[in-house]
Amino acid sequence: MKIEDIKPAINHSVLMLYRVFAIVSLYAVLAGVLIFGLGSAFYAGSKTWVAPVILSQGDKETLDLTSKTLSTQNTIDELKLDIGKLENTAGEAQSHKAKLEKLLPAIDEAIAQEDQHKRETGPVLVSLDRQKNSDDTRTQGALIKLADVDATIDKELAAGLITKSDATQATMLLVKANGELTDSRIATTLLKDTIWEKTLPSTTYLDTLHKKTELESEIACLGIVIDSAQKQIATERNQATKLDQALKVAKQTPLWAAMQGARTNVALVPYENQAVANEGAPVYDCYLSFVVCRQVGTVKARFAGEQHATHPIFRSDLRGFLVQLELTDPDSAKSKTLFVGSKPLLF
Amino acid sequence: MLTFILWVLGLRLFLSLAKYAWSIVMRIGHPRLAGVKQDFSLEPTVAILLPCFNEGPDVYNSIRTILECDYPMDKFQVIATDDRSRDDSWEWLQKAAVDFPGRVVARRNAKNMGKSRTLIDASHVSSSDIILVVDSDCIFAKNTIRELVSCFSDPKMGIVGGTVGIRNPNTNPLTQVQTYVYFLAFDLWKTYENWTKSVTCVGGYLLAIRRHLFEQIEPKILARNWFGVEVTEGEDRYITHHALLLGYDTYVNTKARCWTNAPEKYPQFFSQQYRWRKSGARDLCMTYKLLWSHLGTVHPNGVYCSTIAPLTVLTFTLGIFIAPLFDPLFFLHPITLVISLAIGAILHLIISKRFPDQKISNPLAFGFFGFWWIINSFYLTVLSLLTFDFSDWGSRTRRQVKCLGQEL
Repeated sequence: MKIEDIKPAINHSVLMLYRVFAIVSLYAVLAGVLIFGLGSAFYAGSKTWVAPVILSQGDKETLDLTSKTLSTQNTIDELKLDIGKLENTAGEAQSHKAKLEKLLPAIDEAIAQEDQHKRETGPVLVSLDRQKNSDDTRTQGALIKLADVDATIDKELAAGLITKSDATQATMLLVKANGELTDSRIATTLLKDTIWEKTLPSTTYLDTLHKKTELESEIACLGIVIDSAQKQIATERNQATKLDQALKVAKQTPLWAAMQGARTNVALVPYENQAVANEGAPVYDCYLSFVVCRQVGTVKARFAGEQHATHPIFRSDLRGFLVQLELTDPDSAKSKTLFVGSKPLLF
Repeated sequence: MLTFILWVLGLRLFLSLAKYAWSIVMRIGHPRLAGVKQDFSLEPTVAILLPCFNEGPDVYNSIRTILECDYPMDKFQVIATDDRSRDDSWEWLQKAAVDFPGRVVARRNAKNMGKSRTLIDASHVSSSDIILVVDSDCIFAKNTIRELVSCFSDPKMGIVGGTVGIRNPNTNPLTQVQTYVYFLAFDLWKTYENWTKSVTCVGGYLLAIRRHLFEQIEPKILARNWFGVEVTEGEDRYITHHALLLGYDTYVNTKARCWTNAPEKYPQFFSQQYRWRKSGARDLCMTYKLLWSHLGTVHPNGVYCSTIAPLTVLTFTLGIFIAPLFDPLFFLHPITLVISLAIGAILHLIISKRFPDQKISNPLAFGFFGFWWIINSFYLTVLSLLTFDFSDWGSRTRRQVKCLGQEL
């Protein structure tokens, strides 16, 4: 058999195969284009679709949130501990400051009383000192005169004019008078000391003033410590409050729910479709993306806060918020899109 | 895979830009680089083959302008053949034969035969030195024939073509877009191929070929088939390709101009583009089938233009299939439109300056061209690759598929 004889049969077979392949391919391309076009047009106009997302403890975002939550809680605890320490420090400082502040009037009063006493006794002592000096001078004059008497006694005793006992008695009186003069001079000197203390500032007085200044300085330092501690307490308390609020907000997010449980079904609602995403609204899942639909659950909760995602069909940036879904068929969460409120095509 | 495709696309884009930039340089700055030696004293006999199908009165106007060319009257003749038109084309041909006695031969096929066979049959009517194939709605400039034949001074020159302008550039956005397409495809692209005298497709709207070369290729044209199914379209590309394979030069003289009506309706435009794309796809298959024959015979630039350049379309088709999977809005990206408009602005400037009759009233139409180009690349390539077993008259009407040896 020649090749030319079987060539028509080969051609026919190849042509048949080619035509079958061509028809299938062309219809596939046509169907693909139509489906793509219809799908794009549908999702461009639909106001009920949402993009489901399954959250679980193992998700990167959930793990991130867990880590951040723990870190935040740790920070809050540290802040509270620090606030307690600062409050103790401030309280102790305030107590100490109060005690020191009570000392100041007593010191002032003592100084004032001392001043008053000095003012009162000082001039009197000066006057007495003058009088004493005068007395001492007169006494000394009298004793000078008695010096002749001492010599006279010895002579009179030797002359037998007086008895020995009289002489001794007279000598004793003379010695006693001298001793009294010396005592008087000592007293005068001591009086001068007293007058100096009463009329001029003493080192004790200055020491007291120095201590008073130190006390005032310590009180001022304590004031600064208290003020600084109170400011830090206010700052840290504010910080703790904010972190606490942030934690409260985080606890209202679906990721927190995912942290607590094994799996949480949520859906991103584009802002264009927010009107339908109310709590309790029915959720539909469809075959062939949006053709034959059945109810698979409801919207459980609506979360605040903007979320960004990629459009499941157009791959463009998408802005919206999350809702938590209560799904009777958990597999529906794996669909590319779900519909909220009503079936997209009424069947 | 995607990275590989992007690299290929990037490389092709670079090569295309380099090619068009070089073409612009040659076209504007150094026309001699893309020129050939012309001898205007050459006056060979020319048979102008004008196959006609459903063309109406346009065919008469076309014949009239051809006959007004400044070429010796006794050296050329119009052989107009009606391929069983369903309108009054045959009547217009007969009128032309009566109005221009001895200069127009009006023929009518016994049955619808398609353009290729019509041309071959018509070529047998004459024994001229040069055969000039034209479209039945083409309007000639007075110097068109002389410009064409003057390029045959080199015996190695096998085929010479001309450029085609649009008679209706501003009828609607579709014709505006085609003005750009025609300039790119029939002028700028050809300039690059002219550089090495290895034009891969001299358009059938204005194709002058040496008779002996035509007769040499004729059996191959008649034997063209796709697994037994007769191939009737793309004969211009096929003839040019075989001329190159036979060692001849091919060239497009941009000073030889004619004007044609661009399709004004989408179905016509779609059919035309589909026919062109299918012709290109068939040619690509043939190129790879006969790749070894090209080496050493065809200039490397011609081999590049035949083997690598057409892959751009296929690569882009693949890219267009894949891109929406990653970014469905890729083609609506503003940068796509901006690039499209930037290219359009450059082309608009060139066309406005060099071809005032082709000036577009709304240059923003090029944005539409970008959109059409996507659809064109996306669907027509696939359609043409999958309909090799189907032939028709392109933008005019359909005809039945006929297998070799099978009568209609």
